[in-house]
Amino acid sequence: MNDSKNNARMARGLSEFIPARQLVVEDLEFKAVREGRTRIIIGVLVFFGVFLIILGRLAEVAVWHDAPPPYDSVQADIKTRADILDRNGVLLATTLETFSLHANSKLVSDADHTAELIVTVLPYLNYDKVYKRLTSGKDFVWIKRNLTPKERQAVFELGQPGLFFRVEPRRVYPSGRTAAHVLGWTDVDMNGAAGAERAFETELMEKPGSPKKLSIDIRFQNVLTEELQWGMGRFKASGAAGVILDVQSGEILSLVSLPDFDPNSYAAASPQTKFNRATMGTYELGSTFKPLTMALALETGADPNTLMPVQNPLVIRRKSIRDDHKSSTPLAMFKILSDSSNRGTAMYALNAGDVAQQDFLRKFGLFDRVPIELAESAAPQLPREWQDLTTATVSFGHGIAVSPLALATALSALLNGGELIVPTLQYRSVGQVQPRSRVIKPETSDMMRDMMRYVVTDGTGRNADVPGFGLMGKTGTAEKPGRGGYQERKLVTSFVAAFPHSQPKYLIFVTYDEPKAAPGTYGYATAGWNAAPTAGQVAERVITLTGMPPERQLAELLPTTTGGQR
Amino acid sequence: MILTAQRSNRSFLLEWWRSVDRVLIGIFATLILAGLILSLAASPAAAAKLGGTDPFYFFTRHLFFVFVGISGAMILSMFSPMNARRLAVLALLGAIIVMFALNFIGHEVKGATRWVKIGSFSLQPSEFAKPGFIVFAAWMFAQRKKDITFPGIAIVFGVYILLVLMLLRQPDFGQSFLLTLCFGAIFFFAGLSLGWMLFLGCVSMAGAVVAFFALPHVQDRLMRFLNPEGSDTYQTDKALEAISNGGIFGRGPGEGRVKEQLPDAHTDFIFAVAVEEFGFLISLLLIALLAALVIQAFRKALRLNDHFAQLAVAGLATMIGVQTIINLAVNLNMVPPKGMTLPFISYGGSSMLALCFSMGLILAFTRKRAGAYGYGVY
Repeated sequence: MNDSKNNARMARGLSEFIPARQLVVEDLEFKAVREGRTRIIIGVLVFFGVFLIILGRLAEVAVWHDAPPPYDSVQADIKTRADILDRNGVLLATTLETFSLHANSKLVSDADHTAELIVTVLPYLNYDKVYKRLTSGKDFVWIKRNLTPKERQAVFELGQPGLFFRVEPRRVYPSGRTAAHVLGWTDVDMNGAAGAERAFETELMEKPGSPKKLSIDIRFQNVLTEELQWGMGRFKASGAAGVILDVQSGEILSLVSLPDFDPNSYAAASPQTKFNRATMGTYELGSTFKPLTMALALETGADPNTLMPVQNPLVIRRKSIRDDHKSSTPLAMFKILSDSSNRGTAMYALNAGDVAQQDFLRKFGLFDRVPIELAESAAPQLPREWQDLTTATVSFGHGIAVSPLALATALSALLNGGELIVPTLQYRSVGQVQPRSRVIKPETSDMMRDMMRYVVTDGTGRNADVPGFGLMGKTGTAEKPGRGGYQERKLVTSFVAAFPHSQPKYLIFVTYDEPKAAPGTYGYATAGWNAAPTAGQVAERVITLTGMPPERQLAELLPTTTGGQR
Repeated sequence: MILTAQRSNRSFLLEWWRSVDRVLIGIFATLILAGLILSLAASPAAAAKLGGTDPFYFFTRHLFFVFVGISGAMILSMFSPMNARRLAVLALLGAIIVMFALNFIGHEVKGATRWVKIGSFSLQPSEFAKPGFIVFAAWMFAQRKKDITFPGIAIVFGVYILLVLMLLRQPDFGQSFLLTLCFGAIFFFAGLSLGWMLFLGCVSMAGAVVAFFALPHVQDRLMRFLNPEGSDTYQTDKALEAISNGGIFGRGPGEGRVKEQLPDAHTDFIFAVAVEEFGFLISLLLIALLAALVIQAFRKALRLNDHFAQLAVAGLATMIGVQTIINLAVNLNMVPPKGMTLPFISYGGSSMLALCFSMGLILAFTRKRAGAYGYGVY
């Protein structure tokens, strides 16, 4: 715009009528800009307000907050898991912090040199494997997990870039192999995978502060393991299993399966060693079944003094029942058990009848898996059909395969006054209610105690006796079933021992898989020559540990006695 | 006129340098530089997560976009306001055409068809539609002020509805929200009556409700924001963790750890990475810079005499400001995640180019020229 023109227009405005349209346009533009300015100022103020709110929030998040956790703390992630103790408070399983070495291969400057150095301080690692990992190009590769603090320090002092440690919990079993099958193990993520670790998973995880007490007595466990191991070597057996039960409370004081493994390196163990023969293995255990048949006979009204015609052949369905210790005269019940006569036992069972026999065995829990906490508890293998021949063979422990723990549990009920106990791996404090159910009359139980004592004093169990403690017992030698019938050379021998006679407390059950004759057994591989002496040894050492006082010899109370000599 | 004629050196560049707003250029350059520094911190982590061999993959691309963007902004700032407006309207037209074509040639990423692939780059046309639309709306409103009979409002409304429909179709709720806010702001600045404002408010409210019920992913995001328990709020949780890790002074450059776990560390969540490494104080400076850019643009708009330029600059400043606020609010978990970048800082080709384009427009409209500034002069 030009000043002179403007002046002229203004001068005109005073004198002339101004054209309306021109004025309106100019006014509106100015009005719009002016109003726009006011509104923009409002907009700017709104902006300021929102920015201030954002700043306030930023200050809240960044400045006024709890101190940030340090980056190196891996501790928070460590899963804690309760320790496991034996009944006397000995530590069986605990969790340690270990250091796991990993690498970021992108940060490793000289893979060849680094790998060489790592192998010098961790000599059990393979150079090629380490080198391969360090040159993998990945951000995260494990080199070795669970290093000890010493190893960690050694690697740390190498001063090589790209190597890192992560604190990782690791389950450690100080007792090593001794209670491997009882304790089981946890997987890399610390989840219980077998044994007590799996059975008590929830409890161990939920209450990491309170250790879990097991019924196991690690001293008994040691004794049983040692004796079975020694016996396995001596008799060249392919396996062995053993159980020590408290016949009053049902607590499992010891549970051994051989060959065993080290739960500290469970991954390296073969599946055969991890197999728990005591609870998971089922065997035709043979004559150790016979006390059950005797109890059945007594419960169904048989007179123990009646003589049974065991000298005559017994043929059922063209199968002849044979005896190892042949008798030329009829025998009464005590002698039938102590000489382990198959014929006599079968006669009792046949007299009682198959229905009574099945009901009886079912009552003792032999038709079901043992209700212990372990997942590794096998169901028995029962005869497909139950004929008179089945009744006869089952009476002496053939044709029915059960786990050693199942038979030990059933036999406990014969001796503890006639009540079936529920075996458990958990410690039961004195006075705690123990689930028990009556299965036989107390008088029958009394008779069974005497009868099984007689087996040790006068029968096949002589090799097991511990003088002065009234040991009761029964041998069992069974041929293993194989292709085309039973195999004479492949035996499963077992022995059940219990003491003291006056009020049985401990029951020991041992079994060998395929034992052979050894020097001093006169060519025999039967239970009386291997399982019985092992059980005796275990009993003697357990007695020593418990400090149990000796009791009066009961031999004089029995009808035919020769004294309990070993 | 007489005064300008007396300038001794009349070279084009010098003339430009004298007329352009150097404060805005300064802030703009500082922000871009800050973005590059932060990209060095955040983008190698993002590149590593994608399994690339080149840790500077994103940084190199960021550098390229910055170069193209700054050059474009500078060239654009040399345009006359009239030509700049023409270019902006052309950009709007082009963006509308490409967005329409997306239905046929679109490239789907993370469940949304927003991108069109050109070679190894993918462009998001909606980013360019925003500044284009703002300038177009400013023009229409200014035109209507000059001539009451001109149907400016109707035209702007038509274009707005078209754009929002296309954005929702992609679907892009965040951009629709931003566009609506900017539109509302220009409406407000243009001095339109309270009745219109109320009407627009109701329309956007209704639109939001419809979007909530019609678009499952919007519903999902909002529900997740309202009940964080039991839902996956991984990115915002990590962002908050990063910010609180930073504290007042930060962990130090390169010492941030959360960025390695944040998928969008280099784009939407760059601010969280910045706070973790550089701390509250430096990030305060960053926010201050962004605020200063917006305020400076508003100051210029305040003093402009040309109604169109005033509206356009205020609108573009609003856009940058709102986008900044939304991004910061998302980083601080104040609003649900929107998929919006931090202007001039975040990695993201289309967003960077479009923001540089907006910056160029602001610079072009705010250049000193005869009669452009001064109160009450007409």
